[in-house]
Amino acid sequence: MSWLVIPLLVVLALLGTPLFVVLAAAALIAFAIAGISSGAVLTEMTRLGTSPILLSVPMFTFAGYLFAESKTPERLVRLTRSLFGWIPGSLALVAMIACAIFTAFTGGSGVTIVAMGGLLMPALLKEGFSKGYSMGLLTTSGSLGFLFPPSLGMILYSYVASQSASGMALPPGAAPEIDRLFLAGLLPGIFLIVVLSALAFREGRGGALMRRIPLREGLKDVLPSLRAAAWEIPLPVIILGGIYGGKLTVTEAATVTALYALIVEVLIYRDIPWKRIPAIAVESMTLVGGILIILGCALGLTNYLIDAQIPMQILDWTRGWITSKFLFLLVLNILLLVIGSLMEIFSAMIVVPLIVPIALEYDVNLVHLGIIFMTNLEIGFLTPPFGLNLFISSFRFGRRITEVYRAVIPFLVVLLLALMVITYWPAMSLWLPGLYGGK
Amino acid sequence: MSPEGDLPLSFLRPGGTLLVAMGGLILLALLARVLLRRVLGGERYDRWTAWLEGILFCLILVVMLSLSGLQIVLRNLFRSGLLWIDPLVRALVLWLAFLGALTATSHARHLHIDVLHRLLSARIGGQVSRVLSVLSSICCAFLANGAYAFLRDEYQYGTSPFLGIPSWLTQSILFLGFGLLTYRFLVQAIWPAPRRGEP
Repeated sequence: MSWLVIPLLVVLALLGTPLFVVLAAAALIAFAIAGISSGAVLTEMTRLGTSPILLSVPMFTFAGYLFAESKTPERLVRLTRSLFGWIPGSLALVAMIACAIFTAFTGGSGVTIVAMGGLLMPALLKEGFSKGYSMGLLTTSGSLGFLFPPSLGMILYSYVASQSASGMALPPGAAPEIDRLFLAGLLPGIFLIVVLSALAFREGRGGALMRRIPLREGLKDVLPSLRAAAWEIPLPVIILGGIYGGKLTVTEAATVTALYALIVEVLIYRDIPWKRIPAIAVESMTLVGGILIILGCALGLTNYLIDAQIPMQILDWTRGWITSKFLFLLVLNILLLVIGSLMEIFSAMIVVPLIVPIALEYDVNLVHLGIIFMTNLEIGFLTPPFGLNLFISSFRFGRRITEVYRAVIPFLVVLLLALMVITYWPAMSLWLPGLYGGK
Repeated sequence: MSPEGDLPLSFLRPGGTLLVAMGGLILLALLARVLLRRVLGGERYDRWTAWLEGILFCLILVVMLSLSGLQIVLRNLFRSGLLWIDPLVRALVLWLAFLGALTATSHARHLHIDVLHRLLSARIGGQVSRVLSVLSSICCAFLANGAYAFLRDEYQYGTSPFLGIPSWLTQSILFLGFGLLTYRFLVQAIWPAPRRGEP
């Protein structure tokens, strides 16, 4: 009888029931069948109010929405152009870098496409890039920031993975701590941008490649555009310097970012009038509430799953036919791509507790797993037919969804190849955190 | 005899009288909503509630930002800190989570998978959404019930981790939050907000 519940919940989820309700219902039913009071689900939820790291979610999100409402995107694009404009076909690179930085600060990729798309799309077209390429590029760029600090997705992964690995013996350097994950994401993140630039060159071979800003003209604008963005440039330095210099925890860095964004955008640049702040607060905290309540219900369900030893059962089952680490990573990638194409980044966290014990069994480093996880979600967002970015792009640019499908295919192919490299070459992810300290 | 005699509202039993009482309150709230909207006019009612939400979120954010900012300054410049700031700010995250979930409900912006919904026609899709809202409301009622049971235990055996505030008080948002979510999902079932496709 109890097995009937699962397909029913899946159908409800696919119909569009809020995911926290689906998770909570699963937890309530599971505990009821096990004869445990429903209070158990709620006990886990109180952890939302005791964990230090979760404060960074509202803080970074608020900061991200402030930046989105201000003229930061314009200043960011102007600066990147003055620096890289001399490279042929560089506007594509500019778009990717600006979007990556922006996504890292806002967490949700939807915000990036909506905020940056309106600015970059006409610019790309004017530069001579084709419609399809430009749309594909912006759809892809919407999630390029997942691997860069302070990616909210990585913060949540670190939290959930640590919870699910607590009590297990981890090899040195394998604990999914957030400062390690941030370092581990840098090279793979840059790698993705470099690989995607290759597409820009191919696309730009015709007209667009020839159109470029002469080096001297670009350099002339470096100083003025630096001056225009003078208050925004120090922020990443403060944040990263603070975290790795040991002055700030990640949570404190989030608070500093939010305070900094508030002071700079409202008091110094005056891009945002005071009157707008309540609306921005509501808008951003609505997203935060949506994320955290899912996390809370997922914690409740996780508690049951671990109690009932579900991960161990899955492990026993997989042992029969997944015989090597190589095969495990392949299956993992396929699974995560499907999840990424169905859910957005925060909901996808619910599978982490299931994967972690299995990954440990196959000797996968949890920091590396985090990078694989993020890269897969990034690609899953672009995977037809249901990837989230596809719908946001179609909505934002007013194009039919099938047009967007066609536009992202070359990007998908390139990214999948890059994913293979990231998955099967752990050193790319683990080299930097290894340098930082082999705790 | 039973320790439950000391509890306030001990006649409300989780699973039984509590659910009945909640149902009654929610009916009253729905009635009050209809009346208020008639008196104020729907447009003004929406504007006022939006304004109230804005102020509430701003207040919480201001408290969080200034307290944790103060803590950073104290720690880095004076190598000291106030012990109660961190637990208070963390507790506020829990409150923020529920208040955010409440606005997400009334703006139909909960994170969801939108696969089958896109395939349905607007009319059938709207009907399906209503049914899902009713189911969500029922689920939240059960969660509120669980929260109540949890809070009763917490009231008896819980601690007061900071400033002498008992833990059940900071955690009472679990019950309040799910109770209000039950109400708001019902509102969505009766008067659905236009579903915004994208974040």
